[in-house]
Amino acid sequence: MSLKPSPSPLDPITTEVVLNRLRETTEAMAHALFHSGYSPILRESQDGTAGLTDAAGRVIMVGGGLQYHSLLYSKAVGSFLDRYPAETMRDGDAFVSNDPYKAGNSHVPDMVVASPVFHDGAIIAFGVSVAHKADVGGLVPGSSGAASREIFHDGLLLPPVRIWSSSGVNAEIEAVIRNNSRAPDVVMGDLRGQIGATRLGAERLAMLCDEYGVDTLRQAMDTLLDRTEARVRAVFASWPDGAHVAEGLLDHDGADTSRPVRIHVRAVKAGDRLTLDFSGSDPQTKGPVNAPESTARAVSMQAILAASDPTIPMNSGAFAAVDFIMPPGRVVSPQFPATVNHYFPTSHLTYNCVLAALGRFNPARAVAPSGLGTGAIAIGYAQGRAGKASVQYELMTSSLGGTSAGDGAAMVLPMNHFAPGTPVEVVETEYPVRVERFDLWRDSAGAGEYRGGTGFIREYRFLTDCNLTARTSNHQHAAWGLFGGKSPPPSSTTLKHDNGDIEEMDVMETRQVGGGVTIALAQSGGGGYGDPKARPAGKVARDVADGYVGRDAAAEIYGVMIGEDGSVDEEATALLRFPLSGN
Amino acid sequence: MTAWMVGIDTGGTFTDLIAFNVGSGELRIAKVPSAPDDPSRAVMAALDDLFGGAGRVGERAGAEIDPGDISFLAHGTTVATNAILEGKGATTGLMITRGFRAVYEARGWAQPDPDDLLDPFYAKPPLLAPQRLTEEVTERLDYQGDVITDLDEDDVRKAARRLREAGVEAIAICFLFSFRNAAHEERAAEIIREEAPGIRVSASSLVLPTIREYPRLSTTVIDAFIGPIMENYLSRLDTSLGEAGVTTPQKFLMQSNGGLMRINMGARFPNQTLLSGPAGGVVSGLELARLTGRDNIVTFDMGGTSADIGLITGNRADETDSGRIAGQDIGSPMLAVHTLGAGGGTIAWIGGDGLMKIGPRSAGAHPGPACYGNGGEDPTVTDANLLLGALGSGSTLGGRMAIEPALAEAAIRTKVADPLGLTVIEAAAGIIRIVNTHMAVDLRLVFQKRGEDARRFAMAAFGGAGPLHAALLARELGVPDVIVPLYPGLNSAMGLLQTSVRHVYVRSMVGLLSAFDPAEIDAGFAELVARAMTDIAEEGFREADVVLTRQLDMRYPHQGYQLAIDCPDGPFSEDSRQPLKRDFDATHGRVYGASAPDEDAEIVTFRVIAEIETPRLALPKIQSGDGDPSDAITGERDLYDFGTASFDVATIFDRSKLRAGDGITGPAIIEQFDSTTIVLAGQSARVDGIGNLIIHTGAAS
Repeated sequence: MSLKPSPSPLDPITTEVVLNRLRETTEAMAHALFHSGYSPILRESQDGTAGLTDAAGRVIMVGGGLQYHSLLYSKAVGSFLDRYPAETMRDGDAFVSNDPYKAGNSHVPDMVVASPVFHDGAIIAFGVSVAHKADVGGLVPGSSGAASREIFHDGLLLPPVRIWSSSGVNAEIEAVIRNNSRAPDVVMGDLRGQIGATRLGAERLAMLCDEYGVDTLRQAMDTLLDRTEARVRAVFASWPDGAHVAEGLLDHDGADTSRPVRIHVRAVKAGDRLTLDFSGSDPQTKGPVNAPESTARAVSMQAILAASDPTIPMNSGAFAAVDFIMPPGRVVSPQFPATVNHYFPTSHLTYNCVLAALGRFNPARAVAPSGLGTGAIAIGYAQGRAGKASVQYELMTSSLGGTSAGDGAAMVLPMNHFAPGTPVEVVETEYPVRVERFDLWRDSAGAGEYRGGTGFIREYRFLTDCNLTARTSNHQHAAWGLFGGKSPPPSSTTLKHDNGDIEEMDVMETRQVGGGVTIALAQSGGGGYGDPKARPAGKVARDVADGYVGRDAAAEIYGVMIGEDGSVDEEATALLRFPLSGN
Repeated sequence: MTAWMVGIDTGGTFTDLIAFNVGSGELRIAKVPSAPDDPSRAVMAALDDLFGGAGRVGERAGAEIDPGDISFLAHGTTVATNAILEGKGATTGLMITRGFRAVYEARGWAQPDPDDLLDPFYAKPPLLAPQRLTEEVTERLDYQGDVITDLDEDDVRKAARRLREAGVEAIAICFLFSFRNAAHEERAAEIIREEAPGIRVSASSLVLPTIREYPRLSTTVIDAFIGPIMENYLSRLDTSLGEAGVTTPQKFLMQSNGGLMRINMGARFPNQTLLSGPAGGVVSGLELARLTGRDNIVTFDMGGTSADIGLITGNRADETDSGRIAGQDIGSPMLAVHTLGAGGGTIAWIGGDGLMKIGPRSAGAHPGPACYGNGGEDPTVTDANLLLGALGSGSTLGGRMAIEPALAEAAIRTKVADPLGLTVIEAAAGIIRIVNTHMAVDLRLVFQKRGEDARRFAMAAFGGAGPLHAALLARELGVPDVIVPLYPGLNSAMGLLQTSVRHVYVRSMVGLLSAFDPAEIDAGFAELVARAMTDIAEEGFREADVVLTRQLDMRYPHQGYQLAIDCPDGPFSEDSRQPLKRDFDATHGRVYGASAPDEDAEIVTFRVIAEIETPRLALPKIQSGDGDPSDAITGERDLYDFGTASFDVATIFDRSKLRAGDGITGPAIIEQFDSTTIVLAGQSARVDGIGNLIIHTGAAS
């Protein structure tokens, strides 16, 4: 791919130097965010990001794993500027909001903070951070209830307000937040850490202005966005013109369990433009599976970069190269007051769909979809090991799909590859629960020439009564295969009662369970890529030996007969693979 | 008889030797190409050079060295590291608690490098013990180490036989909660030894008895994977040394924790050699801190492919228990060294955004920079330094390596300058500006993450390329002084002779500091001390020689990271809790910028550090001069000045002719056998009593 760099008043060396300094700034902000917070969700799961926008709110850089936070930086800064025009902002200010319909955050527990960066009295940029809060009120602890039917059920909705100024915290706003949280100390601790990270970014950026000159800094940011847009357009230009569609289903929205929820995307490529049309997606839902538009767009952009060139950075330049058609009121463009608290599975499915559609334009980067079923479990105990009430919170991942280059990676959170898991030994040390299994799930990956990453089963036995919320997704509708690859089985959540009764759980449930009950989460593997019968028989034999693939599946799906000793039965395999050939 | 201390460090490109005569203070050095297929050959070649009379430096050159004159030999090896990098370790089996095959496969579910975040083609590193060689056995302990399910010995026996038949050379055992109770792992190890004699067994309760099953498992598997490789290597080396007549029992290996271990321990603790090379640089920094009377030093070791950064504060090197080699996680205690892909061979290219990029790809030793004339066509940092006058012909291993500026110019012109519309010199200056930015960014982040202020540090510059970049880098960071030791290119070998024997023993026992039973704390430490004493006896030391340090790794409840806090000797009592808590709060405040004095602290891991003094190289004083370095001047050449973007005439000095007390004013170029030091315009430098060049960078302190 050749690319004519757009003209820049800055030389390609100074620009690179300054952009490296901006990367340093976002990394320093992200480190401060993850190390000054109070809650495990911020410190351990690193469920947040920190980064920069320019003065107009265009996203420059995002530090941290959740790159789909990018676009919401723009929306948040825009809403802060709407309410507090630039001339009324002061050095040392920080603004906060957690209203998805104003700040663009993915769901209500995510708070967005931004601080203006001043140089010579003018705003030149914003430091921004987003972080998940332990609880902001609402129907259930954690503020993400399956029973939620409108955004007000998700807890306190802070409009854009000034939380911090050069004289310190705005005590009135702090009092409102505290009064609306089940965990006020942790939430305020995290929020202060978030403000600190954002202020640190603002200070660092002001120092960079002194060091390199404000014009140099502005030009470097402009160049970054221009060049990023040009790179994305150059990729599009190299693809054939045309249109492809993809769609996928969620089991239901949590309110009406009789109907699946459809994500549909039509990707139209003409010249150096790409249009993603979500008109065919289902209307917004009563239950909490809606994904805010800025999140839906940003995960689509992640899929675009994944399908074109993942070394292209995520910023507003990339977004400028893409048109979105999202009629208001779809599940990917919900309107106030729709609830959005279970946005992640919807976003994940949206990402998979865009990736599937774009793979048709660029087969070299086509990948089979990652396994569906991502989510989290939250278990409330009246008494943890330390004697205090406590909540065990664990993210549930799946695995990636096969690619043209190899099998999918096993057991990572698709779309952000970024979910440090809690060790079994830590879980059992902190909570009255026993992990009975953390095992490979045989045949959980879609078969293919390159198969999906293997899924897993994680099983917990409760040692005391507790309050269990299991929110995952896609127990009925699994991911699919690509280019002849097979789909993986759907994920499932199973309860085993003390009397031996076994009960399938729904994708979104909260209930009281007694000690002795076991919950098993079977998390799907990734989709398969290419015809399983094209997978070399030796690799299939190794998969069987490794326990990723069962003998039956080897024979029936891969057409490989494995002998008693574990080696390939060549003759039987030839018959299975080429039944019509031979004499 | 004369007594020589010899340090031999195997590097990626060269094997360095440094020899020190304990009586006369004479130093000799040798540098031979490394031999990746059998590194012991290069070790012996370096010794042959020494015995053959090579490597005399300075004016104290004495007589020939006889192998029997070597009284102390320390070695830094990359044998285990290379086995992991190349995936060429032993065929390794794994035995785990039934039902937990996903622990290794998931690898903590952790994120890949930030560069891979958007890439669905991301692949996890290979399992060093594949699932087909992983055996589940029935057994289970609870979180306090109490038995829930007895070990099924028959399971173990059958599993051991299957693994033996599958041809494994080593078996790792990692059961859940074995750090609390080793009985099941120990019994399984016994059964394996009965069923599969001769197969090396690594039990996680011995290798790394700490909480968190994945890092413990990964570390134990690595131990098994490289253990047999290390055994072979050490036995080959031992034979060769014996045949060569090196008979001293004082033979040691360098460890990732910055200390030595007797060579007979190497096969037992192979993991400890994995990051010993970078640790050697930090050790040199510690010694420089001691010799120059400084508390805080940042070590900056820039070689051919990478740069290593280490922090020393209050005369102590930063330590960590999370390292990674080729994606493989290792949790053994080690010195904290931050490595980035920035070295002399690092390649300049044009990115998809049309901007100049540097690295992380390197031309390595082969073909190396374009100017080496070995067929390298990509422009590198070394090529840029050559065209800017920073490097000359006087620095290329005493002229043994020819360098051709025309090749450097051609590479820079065709690959970066012409496509970007720049002159060759603009492009060369750009390469240095960008690579320096990479290093400055990482250095600033290292300082930030430790809560330290660069202005309170001196930078110790090591490696072939460190002293070339240090003056510019330190000035940009605000670091007031740069220390360039007499042999900056030999610092890893030097570090071998500047440390002591050191073993770190850890074991997790989790509980609140306020409530932990004092008797259990005493017992926890006593157990680790007993292990230390057993090993020390095996190494041939006496208990009286050992200095023990006890530490508790603590955190606020629910945190994912711990801080090591010194714990005074003697029995633990109620009165011990408060001072420990205060130390912990203060340390947390210093490192992370905040503390929570009202919250309890949680003890996670007990740690005992055992140290035994061994002979150390005493850097000899160099001859004093009259302050005028004119005698050392060898010429002058044009040196690029980044401030004015033009060339300036710089004086060239021969490092070996500089005398203590000599003062140098920049711009100056100080050349020596394997390294070049730059002093910038506006900076000054002086030579101290042991030959260190101290550059005052002009940054306000």
